[in-house]
Amino acid sequence: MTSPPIKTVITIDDEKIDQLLYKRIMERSGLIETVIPFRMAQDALDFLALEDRVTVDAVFVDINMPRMNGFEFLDIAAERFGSDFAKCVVVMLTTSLDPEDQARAEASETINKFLRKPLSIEDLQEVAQLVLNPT
Amino acid sequence: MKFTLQDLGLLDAPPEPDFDNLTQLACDLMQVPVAHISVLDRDKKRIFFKSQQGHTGDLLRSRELPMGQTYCQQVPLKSAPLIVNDARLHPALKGTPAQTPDQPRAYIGMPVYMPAGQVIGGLCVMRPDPHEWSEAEIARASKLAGCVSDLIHLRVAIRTSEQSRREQRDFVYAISHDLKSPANTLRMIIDEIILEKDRLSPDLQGFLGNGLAALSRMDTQIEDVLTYAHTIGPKQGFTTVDLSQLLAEVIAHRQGMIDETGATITAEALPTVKGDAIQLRAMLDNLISNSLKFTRPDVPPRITITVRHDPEWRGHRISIADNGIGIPKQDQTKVFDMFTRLHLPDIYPGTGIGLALCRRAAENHNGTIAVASDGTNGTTFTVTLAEAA
Repeated sequence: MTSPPIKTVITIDDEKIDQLLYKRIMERSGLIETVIPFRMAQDALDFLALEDRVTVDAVFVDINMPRMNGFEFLDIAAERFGSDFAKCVVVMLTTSLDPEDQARAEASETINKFLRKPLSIEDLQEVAQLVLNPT
Repeated sequence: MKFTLQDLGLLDAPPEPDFDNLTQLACDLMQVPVAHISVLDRDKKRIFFKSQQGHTGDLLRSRELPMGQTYCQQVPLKSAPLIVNDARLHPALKGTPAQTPDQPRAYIGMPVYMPAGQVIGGLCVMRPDPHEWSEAEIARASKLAGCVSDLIHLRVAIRTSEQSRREQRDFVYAISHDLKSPANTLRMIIDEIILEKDRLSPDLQGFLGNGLAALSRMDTQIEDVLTYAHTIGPKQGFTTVDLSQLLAEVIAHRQGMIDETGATITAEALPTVKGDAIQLRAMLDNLISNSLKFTRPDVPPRITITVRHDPEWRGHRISIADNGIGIPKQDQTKVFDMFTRLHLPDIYPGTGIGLALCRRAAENHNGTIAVASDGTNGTTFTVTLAEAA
């Protein structure tokens, strides 16, 4: 069996069950080797700041979360980690139906993809394409 | 046109001070005995006087004249000012009753506009004798007419905003009810599966519990949105509300939580105010249940409610203080925003609607709500409400 095209992704979502379901679908897709979940954006920032951490290929981030929302997280991450963070594919994965959120995500240079929950295998295939063929 | 002249209180409606002030000002500033705001009713072919100064006899009572008998109709019909120095010499009035004896000789009619630009009538001033109107006088009349138009624009804006709030509230009610029915169906389906859950892997059995938990969260969310919806919309009639009574109801409603946590609640006598009982109860309920919820493990909640009357401001300051986990300074501004949560749902569950509702309820009562906390040792919410008039 060939190894999955994507080595490591992090998921940031306060919903425990959603995290559990992401992990299952990501494992089932065979596209992703390791999933590291965070339920608070601050914890993800702390992880990204570690010097000896693994390379992150993609970030899946929710918008509405306690304390720090997805947009705030991305702003801080882009500022703090710069080009290093710019290398990974950023996917906004949300239940938000607010067209302003979508417009803001589309206008953002940090965000590569805006997806609505629930996450599907097809979504993951598209993300895999972005990871393998960065534009 | 979105609103009719009747909707806006401009036709067949009693005089109102905001318009009467302007006609009174017109008489004073223009030094004329008669001023009025005329509104053209095209259907009934008449001119209605929304406001009138100096009218006498039948006109004073009827407040209307058939079209054809007035100067005023010229203004909306031509959508232009009409300036008459001497009615007997004015070509536009030739052959009209304006040229009969006893009619005013000098007249200015300035258009009054709807927001979309349609002329609905005029602000008119007149005097019995011929008069050469100066540029300054004409400019003054034009400015006064502008004020009348502004009043109407404001009225349209208020009506529009009330209407859209009403629509918003109806929409929230409708969508909430529509969401409940598929949620109930799902719950029944899960209940059916649970009956035969032995046929599922332990993994999937776990998901059934998660599914039920998610559905009851959805129920709470819908209930909270519905309560919030009650705070949207034009102000309903306020009644006299005894806040002590409301607090007693809230405490009874939360008795289970109080017993469970071993909470003590001490309260000074709360005042009686003018307000919406449902909104004020929802506000008290949210503040009390927050104090019962955001507690440290093994520390029973202590809630202290104090009241200060402020005679200068003619209002009450009601403070609800607890010994809970507090709210960090940097989060204090956003806790009142809709859907803001500071904690993971499995640690402190919530919809993020409660404090948004409290703020809305306070503002609907011309009051305020503020939070004070050092971020660790308890939280104090202070609500200000006007005293019952």
